[in-house]
Amino acid sequence: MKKLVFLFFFLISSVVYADNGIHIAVATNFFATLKVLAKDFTQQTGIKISISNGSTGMLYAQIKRGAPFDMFFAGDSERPELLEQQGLIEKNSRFTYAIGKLVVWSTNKQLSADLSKLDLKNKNLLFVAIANPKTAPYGVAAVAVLKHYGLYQQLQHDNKIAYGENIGATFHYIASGNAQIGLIAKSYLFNASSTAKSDKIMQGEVVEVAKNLYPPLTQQAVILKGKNSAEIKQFLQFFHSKKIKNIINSHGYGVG
Amino acid sequence: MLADLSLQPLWITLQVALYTTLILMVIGTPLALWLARIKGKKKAVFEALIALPLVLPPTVLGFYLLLILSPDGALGQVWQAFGFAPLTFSMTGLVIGSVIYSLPFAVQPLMSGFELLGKRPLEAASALGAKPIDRFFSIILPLTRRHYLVAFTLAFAHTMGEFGVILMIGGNIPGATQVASIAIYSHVEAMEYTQAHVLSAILLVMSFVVLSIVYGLNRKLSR
Repeated sequence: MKKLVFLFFFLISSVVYADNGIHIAVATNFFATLKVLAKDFTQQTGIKISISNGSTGMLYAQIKRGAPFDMFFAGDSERPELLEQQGLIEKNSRFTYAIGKLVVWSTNKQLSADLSKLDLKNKNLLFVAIANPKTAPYGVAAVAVLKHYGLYQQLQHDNKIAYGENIGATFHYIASGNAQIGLIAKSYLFNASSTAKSDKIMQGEVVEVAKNLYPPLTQQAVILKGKNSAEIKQFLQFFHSKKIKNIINSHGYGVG
Repeated sequence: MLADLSLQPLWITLQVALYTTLILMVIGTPLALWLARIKGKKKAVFEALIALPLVLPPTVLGFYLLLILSPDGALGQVWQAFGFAPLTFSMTGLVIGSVIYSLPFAVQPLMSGFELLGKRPLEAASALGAKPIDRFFSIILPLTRRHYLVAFTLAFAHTMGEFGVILMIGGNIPGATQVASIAIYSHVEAMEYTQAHVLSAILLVMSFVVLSIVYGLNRKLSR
């Protein structure tokens, strides 16, 4: 028994988090893009970047409780501002790294991705997928757009809105055909077009929503308190280059 | 295609599941023995208490554990007062969370086993002069072997597939707290479907092998 207990503690202590390189927490919608950038950075400098993805709200709660992240790339500007007010970030480290763009994506030929032409009585329309406005800024934007076109009340009344837990789930609702049309992040479609699902995207119709129809999807990043280092400085220098801005832009984001 | 595939999450999952199950067997035994002995209202209340982790959605349970285990939380403060490293975002935290999450799956089969066994075999052994530890290993354990097997497999399998609790208190840290289920989810979020499929397949095969070995062992033991 004693041996077992010893073995147990030996094994449990063997997995210790290797604390080198940079550790970044990222909102799911920027996860794929950040992965690409991080790979580039590691190739150039040899500095490793470890990425943890999750919803902005969850990551915020974890950071407040001492999660071992160095930087936080949030899906909004609200949470970075809150962290700043609470004194949990390095002074003046908050910056806008991307501005999200909303698109309407329809995979059904009978349904127009131009919302001004969308007929709610069309039999092919079973569900419109949007992100949950309570947890995702893209959901708030989607609701604003549906309201602008006078579709929101009727859809809600008919229980035809499927709420994705985040923008990724919303994407999968549409990609899998369970929802025939939906409002998602443009960046998500970019990522999808580089995978096996691309055939489906090509079939579908995508229309970018005019920026003035929804509150801006400003995404901000911060360096967490006490985590500034030479590596982070190097990473930020890399991040703010023209080349990276072009990559972020090509991934479906506006650049601040 | 498989450039970003790391198998480390599987190793972490296996460790969490194994530690959790072993701890559950150790603390679940006295708990279930006690529950099998008490009666009436008291029993109903404690049985309900043990079943509560089944009610809370995993992410909600995870959120409360995050609050309690954090360095400012009730348990976290005590823990760190003893000079230990923080519980959250560590393997230790994952195991504590999983023990609570899978507790009913271990305790309930054991309890029904001990109830079926009744008092008589133990009283007989006691009359013959057997000490409590001796009674446990020579009577209770062999006679409730099948219930232990059920408790072990349920607790193990339940922890292998755990997601919400671990995501909350673990922080999805690659190489430290990113278990297989979370790694698969992250691959899907990054639209790396091939990696997600490969990892899922390995997780299923691995769980199947472990469970087969356990069931096989049971057949051997019952001969």
